[in-house]
Amino acid sequence: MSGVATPLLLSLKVALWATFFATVFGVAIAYWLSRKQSTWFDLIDSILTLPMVLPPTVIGYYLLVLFGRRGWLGPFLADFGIELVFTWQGAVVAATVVAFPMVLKAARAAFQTVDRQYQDAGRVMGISELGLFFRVTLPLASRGILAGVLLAFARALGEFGATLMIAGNIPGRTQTLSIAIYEAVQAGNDSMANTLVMITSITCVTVLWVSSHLLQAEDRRRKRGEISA
Amino acid sequence: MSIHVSIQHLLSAGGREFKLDMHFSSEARRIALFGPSGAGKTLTLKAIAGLLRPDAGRVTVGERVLFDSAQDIFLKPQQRRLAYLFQEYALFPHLTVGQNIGFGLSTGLFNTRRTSVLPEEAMYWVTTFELAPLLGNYPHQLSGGQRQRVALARALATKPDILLLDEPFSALQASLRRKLREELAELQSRLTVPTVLITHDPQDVRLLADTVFELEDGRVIAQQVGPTFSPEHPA
Repeated sequence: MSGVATPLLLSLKVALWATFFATVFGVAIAYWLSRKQSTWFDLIDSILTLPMVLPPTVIGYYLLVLFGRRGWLGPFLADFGIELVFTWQGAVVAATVVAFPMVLKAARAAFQTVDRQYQDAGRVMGISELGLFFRVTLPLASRGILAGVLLAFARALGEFGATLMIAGNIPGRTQTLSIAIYEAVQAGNDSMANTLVMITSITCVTVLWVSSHLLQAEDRRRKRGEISA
Repeated sequence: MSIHVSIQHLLSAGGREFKLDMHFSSEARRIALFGPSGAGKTLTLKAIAGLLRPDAGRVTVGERVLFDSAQDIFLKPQQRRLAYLFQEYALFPHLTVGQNIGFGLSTGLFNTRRTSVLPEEAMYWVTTFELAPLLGNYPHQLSGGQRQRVALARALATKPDILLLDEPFSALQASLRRKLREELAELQSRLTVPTVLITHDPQDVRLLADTVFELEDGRVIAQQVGPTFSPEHPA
């Protein structure tokens, strides 16, 4: 089983970090984009959504151009001791880039459905714009955002192409579940592939089940308030 | 307290233009702006609240200059010390009645806990409006009348200089409208805070205003005494 646990734990670690970064950046940029309507913003939105439609190998190539040893940012980051090629941190970057549009799309749509009147009501009551974001806008958009975050996690967990290109396939260090499955199949190790596929499937189902359970618990909490009325 | 409004604003949408050219000033404690929809009532109220920045003009409440394009003064809504009662009350659906009423009194980055105790100035209004049993409820669990009282308590808890009322009864059925109108009139008689009401219902004006400005196409066309108001152009 140890051959299974290592890639599983690595995948979870990479996917969780990627989801975290994708959520922070996705929500922040979506909020910024939702504040004003402009064709320029739609263009920015389109560019930021590109990772959703580009082949993962193209994304991986871009990442290498950016972060490779002789890339645009690679030498600069190396000065700070940050090495992204052939490291699990590189896998996080790859997974973040492909998962990010999921959060961005969902959050932008969610922010746009929040009625402006609630923000105006808060403004008149003297609440700062930052306070309004955390107290009104974010809570009212949270369900839509959460849906995007879950998709982002699933997408990050399944990331393959871009990860392979930037982080490589180093067992124990950068070999995530999906890469381990590919290698097991290539090596004709069917039992290993079977186990890994089962584990991936069960993990994904569990994550989705737990999250939908959390949403329902939230519903029940609100309804209980109704009964006590 | 006197209120003075003198603003110009040009709106264009879909090839159509609307010109707001609003001038009125009054010492009355209860002011109404009366007019059909599209007369510029809500725009004017938003300009007073700072939710809309007019192209030019001046808005003062008492001694305070809230907006003066000549001096490049534009106070943010957060700085105006006003209260705004929205048409459908805009109670925060994710917060309890208690959290809604105390909303403007906590300035932190996050909402207060559902169970936290309200500050005294908020409790005063909770008692006045008999809202104590509802503090833990959510807005969707309230009746129309309760919603209005929660919205008023929330608005008044911030100790505003002036209370702006945006068609407070338009979303209600006739019988409830009559009841809430009387409730509001009774409240006004106990309040010291001046009110500016916008409405298209002459009955609102008669009961809730000392002076009324009749609006049409973004301009004031007449001024009358509230209690005996009869519109020149019935809406």
